[in-house]
Parts: sequence; structure tokens; C-alpha cells
Amino acid sequence: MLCGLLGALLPCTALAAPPPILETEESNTAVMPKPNPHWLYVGTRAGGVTIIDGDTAKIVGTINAAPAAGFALAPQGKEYYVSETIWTRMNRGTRQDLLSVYDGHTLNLIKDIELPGRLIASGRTPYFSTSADGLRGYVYNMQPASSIITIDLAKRNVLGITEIPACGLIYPHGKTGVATLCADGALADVAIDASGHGRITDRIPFFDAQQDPVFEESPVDRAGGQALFITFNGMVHPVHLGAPSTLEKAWSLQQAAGLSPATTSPEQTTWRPGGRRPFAFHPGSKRLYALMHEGAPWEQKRSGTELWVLDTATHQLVNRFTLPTSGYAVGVSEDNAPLLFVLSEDGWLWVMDPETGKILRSLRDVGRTTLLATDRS
Amino acid sequence: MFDGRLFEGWSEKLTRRLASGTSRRGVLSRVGLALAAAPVFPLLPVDRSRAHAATTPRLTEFQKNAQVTDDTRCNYWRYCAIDGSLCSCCGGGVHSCPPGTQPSLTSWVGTCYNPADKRSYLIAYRDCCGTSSCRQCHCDNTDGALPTYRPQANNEIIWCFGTSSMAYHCSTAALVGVAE
Repeated sequence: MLCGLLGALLPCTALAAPPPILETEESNTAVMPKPNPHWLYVGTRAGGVTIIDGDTAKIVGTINAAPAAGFALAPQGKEYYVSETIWTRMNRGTRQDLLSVYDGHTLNLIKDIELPGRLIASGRTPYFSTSADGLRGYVYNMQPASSIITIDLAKRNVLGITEIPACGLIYPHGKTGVATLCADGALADVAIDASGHGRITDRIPFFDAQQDPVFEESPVDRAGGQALFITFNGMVHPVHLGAPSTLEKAWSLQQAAGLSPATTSPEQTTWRPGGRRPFAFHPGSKRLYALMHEGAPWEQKRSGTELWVLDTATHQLVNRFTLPTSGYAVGVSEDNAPLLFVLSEDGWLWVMDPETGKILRSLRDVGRTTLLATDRS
Repeated sequence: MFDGRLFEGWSEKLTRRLASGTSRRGVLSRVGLALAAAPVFPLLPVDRSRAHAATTPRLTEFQKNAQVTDDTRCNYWRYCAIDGSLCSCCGGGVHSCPPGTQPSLTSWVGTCYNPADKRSYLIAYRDCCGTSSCRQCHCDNTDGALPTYRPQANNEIIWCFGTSSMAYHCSTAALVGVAE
């Protein structure tokens, strides 16, 4: 042996020293880091809401949610809210409609608020949302009459139900304002009092609900009350939500790019908005991000091959970004150094620079997006 | 509790009235009758195709690519506004629910163009409910599909109202009648 030959110069124990035994461990559970405005919340078809940090493109946690759930977050991510439907025996037994409240630090369930119903449909933002200050929750119900269920999120109870005949969806704004869209192509203001009861107070007809309806996922800045209702053809109808709401001059996404406005003619192939969630709005810069594809009418869910950046103040196209995979949903963080998020149908997340379109980071296997949310906290 | 029969009556009446009235679909269906015969439909009688050969087609992208032979593919003509798994791929058929499931009492309605006879038909899309999702042959066609504020033409709602279970399995496309 070498150590034997070298004798006293090199003890055998020094050459053959075994590595130290690894320390024993206790299983534990991580808690959430402090939320930042670059967090993205992604609801998927299989259920659950995945929280991804846009600065690292890594998952930081997942909120429990049934399939076809709605999702909203309290300011600063202190709590998360999931509107969902479950049954006592998995998919049979007694139906339970719930607003489930989760702690933002541990993601543990705090409370189930029982709801008197809710629409079960592929999750969309205007099925469940909160007031801008986060004190009220609003759940859209259709059973079969349309109504809005108002929830006091601080006291954690249902306040009341407001019928909205021939209308659907909820677009909260400010502390207590709510707007809805109606089957005849009108926007309706809904006044809901402190008891959670209310009525439609005003109606503004502004679009053709049969020929060229507005997207459900039209962007709304709840704090500022600025809504951009965008039609399948790409007409942008700015509305200042209030009591009453006021309609501003409409403009065309295509005209902003120097093209003719899109029509409902099947022969017209042009750039059109489409996807699961085709739009995102950044309130600070007043920029609109739109997933666009070249195609004919009635392809409103077709993913976008390009992302258009538009200035909503000047109605001008600022930039066009070609996407690495077609975009099914788009989001933008609401801070002053925003990140752009694009998700594809096959589960890619692309984190992009909104100024240049450069891909900063990516994550795969995110799932098929239903909902997308960001927070300005 | 929710009365599915009430909703069925309300929904069917409303949807049929809307779908067969002054809709874009109604216009398209009338236009469709005068369409030129396209070479992709070889089963069409020759005399009929010649009779319409001079007119200009005004077909949607779905209608241009629709076929009448394979109801397990998304471009089967009746599926113009379907969203979900095709029951034809799940042990059922174009208007039949697979074993162990129930057809929804209510439906959403589309108006689809049949390239074989160049007529448009009202299609009642019913979900089959009561067992785990089939997940086969997922389609998401949007011809005339409208947002939730027009529920009668919305294909994202789980239409299992009134059945013993709201569990979605797959979707069917039953022919209801001629749209004209």
C-alpha cells in the first residue's frame, strides 16, 4: 500500500478518510416569499392556480382550485380567493358552491364561504372578481336567471343577490361599482347597496352582440375604471366605468397598424385578435397588448402568432412581436418596470421585455391556461 | 332547486328563435343555398352543382373545410360550434351519449352548413354528463359561438343543468331541423 511505503510521512487514515455522514433532516413545508408585482397567477384546465415569479420563471406555489374555478387575489397577495364547485362524493352527491379563502403566506385554507350558486363554465375573469379595494367579491351566477352574488370579503359572508336579466358577466370598478354586458349589445351599470342588493341603473348600447360581439376577456383597470371592450373584429370601445358609465370614441386595431378595419365578411383575411385571453392592459403606460393572427371571422379563439403593442392614447401601433409559439393568453405586470407574459396552448410560458419583445425567460409544461392574473402590489 | 325542464323550455325556445331569426347564421344559410359547388364535395349531384356554379361562395373557414363522412374529426360539418370532447370518440355517437352518462336537458345551439346538400341546419349541442371526462378528440370550433352574455350560443358553459350529475364527459351534436 502506498501509505505503508511512505511510512510515517503520510498516515493511511489521511488517504482513505471517508466522507462525513450527511446530516439528518426533518420534513417541513415551505412558506411563500413576499409577493412582488412580477408574480403571475395561472389557472389551468386541470385545476389549481400556479404562481410563477416572472423574475426567475420558477414556480413559487400552487393554490388549490377545482376545474372551472374562478380566481382573485386580495391586495398585496395577503389572501387568495377561489370560487369553485365541488361535490360531496367527488363528482356526485351534494353540490357545494364555495368561495374558498386561502392565506397568502402559507396557502392554507382559511375559510369556505358557501355560495347560493355560481355558473360552472370554463373559468374566465368576469365570472368572479373583486372590488378595487378588495373588500367585496362578486360571483356571476346563471341558474338559469342571471344574477350577481355579492360577498363581504372582510366579514366572509354573502351579502345578497342582484338580478341582471338578459345580461351576464361582471366588471367591478372602484369601491362598489359593477358593470355587466347584455345580450342586446349594451353595457349596463349595476348599483349594489351595502346589503348586497341592487339593480341595473343605466344601459349603453354600443355593439352588435350577434355579428361582432365584444370579448369577455376585455381588459378593465378596476382602480381607474377604464375599460377597453374589444370586438371579435378588433374594434376597441373605450368606456369609463362609473355611475353612469360613459362611452368614448371607438378605434380599430387594424387601422392603428395602417390597415383597413376588419369586417365580418368571410372573404376578408386580415389580422384579427384571438385566443383564450387575447388582451392585457398596462394602466401606467396606457399600452394595450393584443394577440393577433391572420385569418377570417369567427376564429376568435385562434392563438396569436404576433403580439401587438398599441398606444391607447394615440390609437397607434407601437410594436409587433413575432412569438416563438402561438400565444393563447397574454398578461402584463402592472408595475413601472413591467414584464410581459405569453402562454401557449401547449403549456409554454414566455417572459418578455414589453419594450423590445426579447424573450427573457421561459417555463414549459405550465398547462392549458384558463385564467391569468397579475397584481399591482 | 333548479328546474331543468323550465330551463330547457326557455333555452330551446330562445335559441331556436334567435338561431333561425334574423341572425348572421340565417343570412349565411340563405346565401349558402346559392353557393357554388366546390370540388371538395364529390358526392354532390352534378346537375345541382352546375346550377349554382356562377355564384360566389361566402363560406367561413370552418365551412370551407367541413366534411360529411367522419364524425370523429373536428371538421365534421355538424361540429361548427362545438367545444369539448366528441362523444363519437368516447363510446357514444354524434347524437348519443356514451354508456353511463346522460344527455343534458339543455343545450347550446349552432347553425351549421352541410356541404353535401348545401343547406344550413340547427344543431343542438348537448353535453353528456355523469362520469369522468373522456378527454378524447377535443375540439373548439367557434362558428357563430358567442360570449356568455349570449348563453344560448355559448359553448364554454357546462350545460349539465338538470341531470343527476354536473360532471362533464363529452359533447354531442343533434340535428334539430333546417335553419331556413
